[in-house]
Amino acid sequence: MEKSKEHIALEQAFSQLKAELEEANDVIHAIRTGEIDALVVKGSEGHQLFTLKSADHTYRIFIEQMSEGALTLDKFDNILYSNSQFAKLLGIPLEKVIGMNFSALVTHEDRSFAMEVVGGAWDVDTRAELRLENYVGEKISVQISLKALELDEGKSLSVILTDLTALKKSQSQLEIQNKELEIARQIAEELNSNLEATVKARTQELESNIRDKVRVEEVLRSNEQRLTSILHTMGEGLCILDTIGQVTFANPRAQKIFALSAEEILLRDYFTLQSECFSLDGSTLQREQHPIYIMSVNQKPVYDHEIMIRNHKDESVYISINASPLYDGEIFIGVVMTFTDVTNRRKIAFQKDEFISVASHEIKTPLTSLKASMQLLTRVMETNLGSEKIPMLIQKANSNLAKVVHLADDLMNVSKIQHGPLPLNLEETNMASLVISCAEQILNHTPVKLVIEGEMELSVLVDQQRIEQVLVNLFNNALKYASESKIIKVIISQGEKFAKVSVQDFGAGIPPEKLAHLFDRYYQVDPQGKQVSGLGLGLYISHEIIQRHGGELTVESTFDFGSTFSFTVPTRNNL
Amino acid sequence: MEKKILVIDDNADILELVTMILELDGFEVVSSKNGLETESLVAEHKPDAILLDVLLGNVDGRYLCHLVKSNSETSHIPVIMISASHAARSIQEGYCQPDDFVSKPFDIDDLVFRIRKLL
Repeated sequence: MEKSKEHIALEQAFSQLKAELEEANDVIHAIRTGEIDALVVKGSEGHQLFTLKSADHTYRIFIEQMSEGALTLDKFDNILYSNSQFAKLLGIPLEKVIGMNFSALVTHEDRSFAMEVVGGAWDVDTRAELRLENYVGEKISVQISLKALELDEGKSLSVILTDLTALKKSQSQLEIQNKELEIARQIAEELNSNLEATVKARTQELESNIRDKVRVEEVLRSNEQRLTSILHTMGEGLCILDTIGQVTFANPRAQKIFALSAEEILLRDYFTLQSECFSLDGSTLQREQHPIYIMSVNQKPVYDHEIMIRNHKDESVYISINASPLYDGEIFIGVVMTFTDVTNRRKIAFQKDEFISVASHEIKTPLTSLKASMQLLTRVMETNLGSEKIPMLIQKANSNLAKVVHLADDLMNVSKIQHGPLPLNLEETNMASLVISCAEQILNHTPVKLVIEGEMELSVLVDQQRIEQVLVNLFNNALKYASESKIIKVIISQGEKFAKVSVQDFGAGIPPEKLAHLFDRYYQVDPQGKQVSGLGLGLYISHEIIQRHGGELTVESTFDFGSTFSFTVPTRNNL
Repeated sequence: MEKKILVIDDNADILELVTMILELDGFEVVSSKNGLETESLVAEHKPDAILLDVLLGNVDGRYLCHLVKSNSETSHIPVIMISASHAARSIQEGYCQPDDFVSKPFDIDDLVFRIRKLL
């Protein structure tokens, strides 16, 4: 089929247009790549030369190569020129970008702001940030710098766009990092603050602990000193023993009781602390009977276990032992033993036992006479046999009754003295009369004579009954202990405020070693092995009576030549 | 024939009263306050029984009892000891071996009964 003329004409026109398009593309490409500096365009007014004055070759290459987007807008905001970087930024082919209205590329939210910025930029250079939208709808933050350009062909607006995506991303990351850093800083600060607080608290705690420790050490040191002082001064002996009974510590009192030095005592065990041990009945104590042995076997404390020991000075000492096992947790580590020297206590107990025995004997003796007298009187009255003996029986009954009363009085007086001072009823009395009255009472039925010398008229201020008691006791003692003496001599002398009365016998005298104990309670002199009657209370009571008068009762005695008991009592001058 | 009793006691009242008790009961009594005379009085009077106080002041009555009982010529003589001390009762089991023991204060009928029992 032959081509029509129209067809051929259209093909020719198409080929011409195609050629013109290729030429135009080449031109554009040449302009973009800077291959040309000017264009000659045929218009209605003939050929016109369009020179690319502001974009010389180097400049255009630079614009094309720069990393920012570069645009030129006309007064209608249409894009006259765009570099490849801008097209690339939006992901739109460059050829499509040219001719687009700039506002169409701005996000909906920023569009009016963009128009204001662009509008204002015609008068003054402007810089702003806004967001574009690429072909997939992603928002791209850009900084735009706008500047109006005066060109030959009229005014246009150059726009440089810097992609802020990376910057924003960096900024965002930086902000995140800053926030994280801030959080980390705050945490660090908090930690630091906590650390400081902790360090401060710990320091204070440490200081407090040190202060406490120092205080505790001071208290411990003080307690140790106090304990050492107590251990050194305590009246009880104290020994610490190890598990086999060996002494590891002994206080000075323990050393004294056992008569061992500090070094010697540590070489001993509880059984060899003393040279001998005895039970209270006097039998020798075996090791197995010793309270420490018993305590160790039973593992139970012992209290007030009394034994008698012979120490290393060969002295007999009664000791009362308390002992208790020592434990560290549940482990037996030794024994603490305390002991008291109870020799005096034991002596007093012996004295009391002895006194009770003596008192019982002393009371039973006159009671025996009294009972026998009364029974004999009954029998005589029943049988009328021996009726001539009746007065003698009555006299014996009376005198023995008086002895019982006297003994009871002595016991009562001792009790009174022990519970407080004896009450006195002081009155002015002639001393010589008192002496004579008592002497008659005691010496009448004896061969002993009274010799009285000195101040016969001297008045004394005394409790008459009590001083009579003293005199009777002294006369009775003279009869009892100096029975060979034929006379008893009494001398009354006057001092400034006191009268002195001396009662002298010429008997056997008192052994010097016994003089010191003469006024002790229950003490009885046993001259030359004789057993004598009495409670051993007379001189003790007399001594108390004279002391209550403010005077003194003393004794001088020369063995084999007799004794003189002297006492002082106040005269009326003492008032 | 009256039985002869030797009484030794250092207390004059008791000595006098015991003597009276025994005499009223028909005994012949030899008495002394001095214990040291015991041996010579026993030898001299050959008593049928001896009444001996334990605490005699200058000598121990238990010792005197021992002397009487350890002498073959006098060991047959009954000895009754008198004491105010209960502890003295143990003397019966001691070295002096008396025939009987009387505590003070005694009953006079009991005393006479004990003496008669031993004669």
